Amino acid sequence: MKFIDPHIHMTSRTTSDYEAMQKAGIVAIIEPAFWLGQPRTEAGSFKDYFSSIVGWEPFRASQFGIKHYCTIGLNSKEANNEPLAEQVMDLLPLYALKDNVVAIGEIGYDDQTAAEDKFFRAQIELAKEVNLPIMVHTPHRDKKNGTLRSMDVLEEHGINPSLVVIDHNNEETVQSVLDRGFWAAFTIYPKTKMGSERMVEVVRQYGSERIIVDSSADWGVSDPLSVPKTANLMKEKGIDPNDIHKTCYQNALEAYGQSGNMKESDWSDGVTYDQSILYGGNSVLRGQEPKKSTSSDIIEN
Amino acid sequence: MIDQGITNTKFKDMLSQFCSRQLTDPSIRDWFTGKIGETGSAFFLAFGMVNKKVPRESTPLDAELIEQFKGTDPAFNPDLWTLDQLCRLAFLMHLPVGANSKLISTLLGAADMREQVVIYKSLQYLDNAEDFVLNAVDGIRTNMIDVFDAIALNNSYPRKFFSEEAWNQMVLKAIFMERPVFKIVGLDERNNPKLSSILYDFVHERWAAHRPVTPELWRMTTNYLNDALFDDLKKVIETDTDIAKTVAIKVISESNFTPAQNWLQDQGFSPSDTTWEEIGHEVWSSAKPQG
Repeated sequence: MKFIDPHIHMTSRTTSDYEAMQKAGIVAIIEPAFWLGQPRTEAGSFKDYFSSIVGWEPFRASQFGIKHYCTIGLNSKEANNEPLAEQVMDLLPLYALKDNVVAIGEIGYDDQTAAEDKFFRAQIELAKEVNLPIMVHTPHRDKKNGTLRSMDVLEEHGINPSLVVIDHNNEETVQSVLDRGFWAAFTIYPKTKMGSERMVEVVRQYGSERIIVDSSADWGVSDPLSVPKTANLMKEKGIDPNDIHKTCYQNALEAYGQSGNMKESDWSDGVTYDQSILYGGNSVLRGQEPKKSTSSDIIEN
Repeated sequence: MIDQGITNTKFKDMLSQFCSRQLTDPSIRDWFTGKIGETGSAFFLAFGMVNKKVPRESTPLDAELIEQFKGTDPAFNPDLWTLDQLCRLAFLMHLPVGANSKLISTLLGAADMREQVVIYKSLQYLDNAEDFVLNAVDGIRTNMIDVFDAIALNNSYPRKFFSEEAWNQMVLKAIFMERPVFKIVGLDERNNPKLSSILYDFVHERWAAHRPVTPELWRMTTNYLNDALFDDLKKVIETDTDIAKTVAIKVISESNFTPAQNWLQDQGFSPSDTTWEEIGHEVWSSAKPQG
């Protein structure tokens, strides 16, 4: 079975993760622009980060046969540093049109401050201007109100809900998100967001229409295999294979495919960084060949 | 100087006219012709929008246009350019000389992979191509293969503008990254004893680690054979692959190192007339894809 993880922060992950993801059937991923744990204090740090998710990271992923996309945006947490946020806003149009950008995101609310609101709205307008879908981050705290408020603001700006993925849903938010016509994404992330067993029950109850599963794996205790693991659990628990396919692959493709930058043909014939060939020097590919040795202490030469 | 200016104006106009003829959608054609010559943020936006507006298809070039390309780059290969890349080249060529340095450096600083590739392929066609040496040398430091290839392979820029030091780093890195060295333009012309000696050290480091080396690298030792390199080539002939053996015989027979040539005759080896191009193709077609 093939999977898409439409929310994962690969910048924080290792090559072993890429190997494991490929083995588990993940063919494409979306890396939303987010904060890095350590707050940034210079616009240049954002610029290099954006460059990295439109340049280096897609290359790194391609070496493991995975197609990498990203979303560009100023995250809500760092929107609170207003002077810096203004400078970051100036950078966004430069990146929004890049080859692998499938949405403006992840944007929305964290503490639901005035500054967050201001930059959320400005970025909704940017998405309209560059004709891209929107990925909305809903807050950890006061989630239900934050989610409802996000949808109100999107509607106020006249955004078609079919162009918006509301992320990090739970049992309390899903009904209203679906009722209002948005895509509802669920993050399978231990302790803070959803466990996979709860996800199975959500799909059992709500079906697979406009429901998307992702990992949001990052620098925290998280799992880059959340999507395939959840799919396996759904199968075990008797969920219809078509519902698994839609929630763990097809819906993400349809939602973000609206950008015009994400097509199944990007990976259906295999992802390559080029025509290419051996790459044994200083590349991230080193040691990627199947292990021939039986001793785990032998590191390939 | 004046002639050069006129030639380039003709080239630029011919290219932008060619691109607009290929853009069959009238609204996109108008957009393209309207944006030619833009600078500042309008240029950045137009350059980025190519991604959304122009198909990524290869397109047969007019003979006249190919001639213009070859005037700058005798190694020009029309098969390596797609329509979106040609449109982006047209935007870059129409930037005013002087102002283009800062604009292109900024563009590179925020470019995605596909943009970086086309920018580096385009530099040699700019009126002030030599102003971009630092950008190109810096570009070589990348580990993104497509980007490295855009500068190092099938591109006359390094041959014309790289210092010996930068040239040697590029060739060594190409070998290190296992790129098809025969596609580097100017390999024989820019060859130098320093590179030969760096490669000698490289070979011994690899052999000490029980790792193979690409047979292509021996080409750069041809004019600088000495006893030590001769010993290495004998070892290659005795123990390495058939293609490596062909290479070693070719290098010795084309060298001016008499002891090696005498030895070759004594052994009954006849000089090889296989070209480096043929050798390169054989080396890279037998390499197995990884991953």
